[in-house]
Amino acid sequence: MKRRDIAIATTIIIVIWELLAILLKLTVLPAPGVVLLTFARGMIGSLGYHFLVSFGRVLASIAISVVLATPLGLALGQSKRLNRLFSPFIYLLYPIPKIVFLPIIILFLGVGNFSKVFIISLILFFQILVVVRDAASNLRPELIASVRSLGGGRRALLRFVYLPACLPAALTALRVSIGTAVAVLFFAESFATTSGLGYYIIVETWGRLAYTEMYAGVVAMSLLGLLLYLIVDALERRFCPWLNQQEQPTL
Amino acid sequence: MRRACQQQRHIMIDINGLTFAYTDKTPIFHDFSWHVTAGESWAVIGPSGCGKSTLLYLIAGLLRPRQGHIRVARENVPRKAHRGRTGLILQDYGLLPWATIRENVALGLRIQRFYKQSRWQDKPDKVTQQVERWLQRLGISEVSSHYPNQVSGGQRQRAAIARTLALQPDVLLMDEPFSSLDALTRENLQRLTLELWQETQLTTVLVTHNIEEAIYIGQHILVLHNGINSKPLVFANSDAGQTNYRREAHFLAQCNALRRILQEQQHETA
Repeated sequence: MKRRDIAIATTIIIVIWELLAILLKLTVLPAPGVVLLTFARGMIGSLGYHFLVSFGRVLASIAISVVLATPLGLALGQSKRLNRLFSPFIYLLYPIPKIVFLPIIILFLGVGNFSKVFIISLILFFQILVVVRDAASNLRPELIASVRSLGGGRRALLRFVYLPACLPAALTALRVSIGTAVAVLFFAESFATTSGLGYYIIVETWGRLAYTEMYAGVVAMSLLGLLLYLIVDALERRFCPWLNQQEQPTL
Repeated sequence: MRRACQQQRHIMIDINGLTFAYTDKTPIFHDFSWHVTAGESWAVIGPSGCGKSTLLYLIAGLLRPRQGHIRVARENVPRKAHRGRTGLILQDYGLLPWATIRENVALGLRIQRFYKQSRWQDKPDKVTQQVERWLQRLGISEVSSHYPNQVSGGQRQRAAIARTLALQPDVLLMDEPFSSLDALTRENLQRLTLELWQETQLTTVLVTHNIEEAIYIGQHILVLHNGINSKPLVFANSDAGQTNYRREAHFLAQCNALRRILQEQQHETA
């Protein structure tokens, strides 16, 4: 995505928002100028703190789920026997909306950071696990055979074939599930806590009818999602340069 | 190593009493013995499903025989001491789609470094040099920074050959390497295969279902058939090995003779 296009889209959204605010003249819909000013001021103050807390929680969850799900996905994708053993469990657990486990997780792990990181990691874990497993098991046998004929054993196959083959899949899984992760974070932070953007939006501003600040919180949350998206994009450009190549057969 | 092979003309591929079957299927090979002398160029031909690819996979150590022994360069297969010295070229290239042509050609050498088996462990320059040499010889230097999906089928197959030869193999196994290429590209690569064989005197075994290709490349042709293969049927074709063989009258006669053998076999097994 081009930076310029993103800037244009942002401008259009702000203009529509401004128009709606002027037309409707509601206290529950403050104009973007005021909100953005509040947002900017807030980011150096308490809003910034809540933003960092939420950001940290999501990053930790991503790190944990990637570190746990990638090797397991690779193992399942490589070994038919392991996959046969585990796939019924994955089949059963994958479609369950993990958010419903939140009360149980809070009962067991308390209301601190750990339970929030745990629930988000759980969601991301299954997403990444499944796509990495499928990417690994869909590798063409000819490719494996030819790399083995070059002297590649198990470790070399992992390093030179499986890992690079699964990287784009894992990043795509992250990209797709970041929305869910942020939404779950928002929900998990909206009660029984005193930090994070969810708390800021639901308890500190919405609850006190501080609408401008509430909107600033929403802007912060949107920014959080966008930022994560951009990080995944950057990772993809850095680690999967072949994805950006156009097909251009030359003879 | 290679010079020594030439002088002694020892047996390079040694198959003794091979029995092989895929799970639950009737065996493809039963008590099958076959020998290839170093420096020879062989073609293996037969109908689909006769086991010609299976034979290559067995020699490459990618499949294990039920019974019998397979030795390559006096070493039991799969070769532990000389990994990657049995070169294998497959029909659909087996190139890593996420690596450039140059990276693909360097792959075998990188794997050797990865296992710390490289004779140039501390000399990355030497690896680069070797890679460049083979990119050049196969005529793919210009596209070396392209990804496989950006180059033609012929160039992909050239990259696969370069990658294998960069490891200085003592055997080159090719499994229908040119069958998905257009006619002219195929002829170019067949000629190139012969040239490389002449240059390196590398023991070559080419599996094909194409009669002309078998006659053009193989000085000896192993004919396999459907059902159980027990005794190797070898068709002598000692005039092969010259790049202009295709234009000689004798070439056509040999093709027809081989065609007759294949037809007879088809009648017998049908």
